Amino acid sequence: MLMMFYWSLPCFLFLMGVFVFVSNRKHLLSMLLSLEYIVLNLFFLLYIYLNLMEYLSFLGMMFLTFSVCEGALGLSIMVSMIRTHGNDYFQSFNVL
Amino acid sequence: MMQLMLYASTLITSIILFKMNHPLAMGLMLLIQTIQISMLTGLMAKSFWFSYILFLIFLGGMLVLFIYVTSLASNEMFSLSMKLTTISLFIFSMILIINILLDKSSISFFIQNNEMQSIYNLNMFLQENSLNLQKLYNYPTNLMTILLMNYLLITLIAVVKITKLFYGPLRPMN
Repeated sequence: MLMMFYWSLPCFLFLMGVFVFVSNRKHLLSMLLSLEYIVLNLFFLLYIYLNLMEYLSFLGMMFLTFSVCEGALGLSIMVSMIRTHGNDYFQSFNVL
Repeated sequence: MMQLMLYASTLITSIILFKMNHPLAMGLMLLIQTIQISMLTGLMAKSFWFSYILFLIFLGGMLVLFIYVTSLASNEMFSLSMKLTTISLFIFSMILIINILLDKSSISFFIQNNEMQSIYNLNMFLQENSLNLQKLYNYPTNLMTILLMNYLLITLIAVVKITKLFYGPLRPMN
């Protein structure tokens, strides 16, 4: 019973994060938070996979560092957009 | 049983996140999910180092939410619907009941021997998966660590260059 959940749970959570990402939200920060959610679940999947390897768990550290850098870049783009255009509504992206 | 309850609660958290609209509520759900996933990864390995690092990193990412909510989305309401909570509790209890009906040995720890404990702790694949990080600073792979340092520095400079604007406040303009 537990082994049935073992690999399929991070895949299901990843798919839920993708659904949250593609569903039409109001703010840009919601999209960024759903991206963080996807990154979290991918880290979980990678962690389960690296449990099978012996000395490769530093790749999880690399994954976390890259995800943090990309999250910081997305937040800086959001701050720049707020200061130039006034709001961060996702519906107004085709006007930019 | 502990891990099964964590699995069920992660499923419930993902379903609740699917129905959220406000960014603060989504951040709260992300924080709860981070706590649950760090507990799960800590239970899979022999030490809680990785889950500690994961929780600190995602908690630091949550701190940006407060200035966001106080400056941009200050007038929005968020509400948790009663129907969603009922459905979530129903699914949670259904998963637990199905597990108990299918696998009666998962509710009692004291009848298991050592091998069954290792099965239920889910590190049955390797005996020696202590998840050590000793390749991080040794020769053929420390070049990747140096790459990470340079990438962090370039990201720092890029973030400062992107947000260096001297016009426009950080508030909504309707």
